[in-house]
Amino acid sequence: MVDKKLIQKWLIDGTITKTQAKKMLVDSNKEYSEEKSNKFISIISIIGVVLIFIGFAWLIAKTWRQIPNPIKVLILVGSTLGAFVSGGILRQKNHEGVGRSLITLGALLFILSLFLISQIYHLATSKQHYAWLLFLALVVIIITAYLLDSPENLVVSMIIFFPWVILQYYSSISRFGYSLGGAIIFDLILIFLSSGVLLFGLNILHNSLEHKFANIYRFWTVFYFLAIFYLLSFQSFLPLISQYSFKIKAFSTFLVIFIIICFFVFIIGSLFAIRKSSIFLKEIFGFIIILAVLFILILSTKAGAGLMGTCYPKECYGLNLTECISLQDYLNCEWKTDAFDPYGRCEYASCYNYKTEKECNSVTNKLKCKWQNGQCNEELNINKREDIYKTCIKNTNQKDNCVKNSLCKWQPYSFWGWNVSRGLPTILWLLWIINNFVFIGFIILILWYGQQVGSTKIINLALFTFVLEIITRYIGFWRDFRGYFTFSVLAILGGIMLIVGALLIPKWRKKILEKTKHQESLIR
Amino acid sequence: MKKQNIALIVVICLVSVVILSFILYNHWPFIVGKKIVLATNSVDSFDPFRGQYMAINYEISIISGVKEKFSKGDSVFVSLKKDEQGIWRKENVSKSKPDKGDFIKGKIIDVYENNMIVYKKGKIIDVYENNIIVVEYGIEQFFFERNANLPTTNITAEVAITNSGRARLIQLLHNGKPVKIEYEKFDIKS
Repeated sequence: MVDKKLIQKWLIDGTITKTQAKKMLVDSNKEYSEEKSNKFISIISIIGVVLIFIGFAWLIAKTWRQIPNPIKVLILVGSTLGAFVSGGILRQKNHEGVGRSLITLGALLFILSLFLISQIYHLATSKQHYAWLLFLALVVIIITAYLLDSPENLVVSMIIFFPWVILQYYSSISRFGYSLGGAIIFDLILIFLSSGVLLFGLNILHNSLEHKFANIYRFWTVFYFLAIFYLLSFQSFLPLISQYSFKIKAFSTFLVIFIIICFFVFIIGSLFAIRKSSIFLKEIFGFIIILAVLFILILSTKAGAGLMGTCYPKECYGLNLTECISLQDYLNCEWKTDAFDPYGRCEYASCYNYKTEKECNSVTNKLKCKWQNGQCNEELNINKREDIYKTCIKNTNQKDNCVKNSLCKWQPYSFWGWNVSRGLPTILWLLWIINNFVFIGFIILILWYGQQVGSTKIINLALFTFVLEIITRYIGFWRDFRGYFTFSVLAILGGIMLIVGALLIPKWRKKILEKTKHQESLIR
Repeated sequence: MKKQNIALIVVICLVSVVILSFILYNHWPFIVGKKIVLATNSVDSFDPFRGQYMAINYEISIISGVKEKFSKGDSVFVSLKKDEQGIWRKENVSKSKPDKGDFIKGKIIDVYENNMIVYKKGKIIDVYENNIIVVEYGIEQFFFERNANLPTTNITAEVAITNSGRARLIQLLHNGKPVKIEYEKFDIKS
């Protein structure tokens, strides 16, 4: 569409005459209203498609026994083929919006057909079986997307790709049990990263061929990379990621092959694009820098490995003779020997062990025993014990400080046992701050990139992620700083943020989108 | 012929071929397979993707006293023999495909080593291998309409098995006869 302002400028400059300007404006308005009407028809037909899909899916979930199995298959397969045929025909008859929607309906009904057949034959309900079904659907739908020139079907396949890769991965490691803990988070990030790399490779390849699917691959590349940065922005995930090791079983054959394929496609796509034109070099170079930054952020979590754990006061039980004697006054330990244990053991001293007044009063250690009401009571040292406990527990997740204190012992956490509410080790905390700054920086970069390539969808996605990041961190702070004062301060801050956000974000969004649409129209 | 028409025909053929192949692959045991009856223990479950199903635990799902070493994910062939009640029961377990007789192919999903070691004067004099394996045959679920009722005791399963040991569930039997499922009355508001 030609910009109104641009026509006026041309008129002032004398590039076009008044009649030409009038004609251009009329044509442009006509085109604009036609485009608007087509968009409306597309939206309506997509709603129709979703409704039909949900209807069929629900019928399958209900296991409709009123209809014999072969008829059920016939209905679904017939509807699938019917949707493809009618979609194809309608597109040829200039009903582009409805035609494209019907083709998408065909793809969705195809997925349902596979699930229905699985149900009829009572096939397995395992992760691997679902992964196979989704993979089959994925391959066929991608082929239909290319053959029928249907961007919507490609979007459907992108949506299926995500659950497929996750299911296939979890199925591939299920034989090793679920004790892999944090390594799975690391692998999840690797899967996202590889998916992003694969999609970027496809994007650049399509872009160099000037294929319209390039935009879809670009959008999903951005989606996966934003997802990785989002995962890295969580305090609780950093210690988990730090536990990764390339030796563990979480590196299943599937994962290794998947990573290799993804990087192979990226290399092929990049080489092809560079051969075609050197303008892609800048984009590829930028992408490699982002990859490197991500790798550095992920690998640097290793610096915090093993630093998460609880710092407890030492206990008398299990201490050797030297330790027992040296900590006698602090922990009330005593070394005891008897016939059963001639070497001796370290135990807690207790006034209650002394049965006579004479014995009780003769105790010389720091227990402060006192004979009262016919028994030897302790003038308790509870305060002292509490002090030791407080000193030690303060050093939870601070290994160095804990180990330095002779009264404390270090108990590292096992997988999933993190307690981040007591703070992160300094190195992980710093990394968390850096990650969040890098995340914000990446969002800004994506906003700029969206403008450069003229994609309103990418800009909307980046803005959505920005709002999500703010809300997530806000909830995180709310959880970390408890208490009335913090609650009130955060509530006020949250309120201000919402009001300011409601005022500024739509304006900001509108401004960026206008610029991008202008860019989009120029690209067209 | 227009390029778009050719593409449409290719898509129709592709979708039809994939669906038909998928049906044929799953129907194949019913065409060429042998019908056998297996003993079961059943429990109820629900699958959010595909409606309600009964998860079936077979007598041969957990096999004890296995001498061969298995690990998770391995394929296993369970030889079966018909008893006087007309139910096929486990005869032998092996990693390789048996040359003759009826057998079913499964996948090991868990292994428990339960070996008994006999000592005499501190020395091992005998080891009784007693590994327990948990096997999945791909016939562990029976789908039926939501809210329908069916018996859960005295259930056996009629299964079709091919020459390669691949199995498909035909139907459930209650006291040797096809189960009667009590459906809720059809209601437009249900």
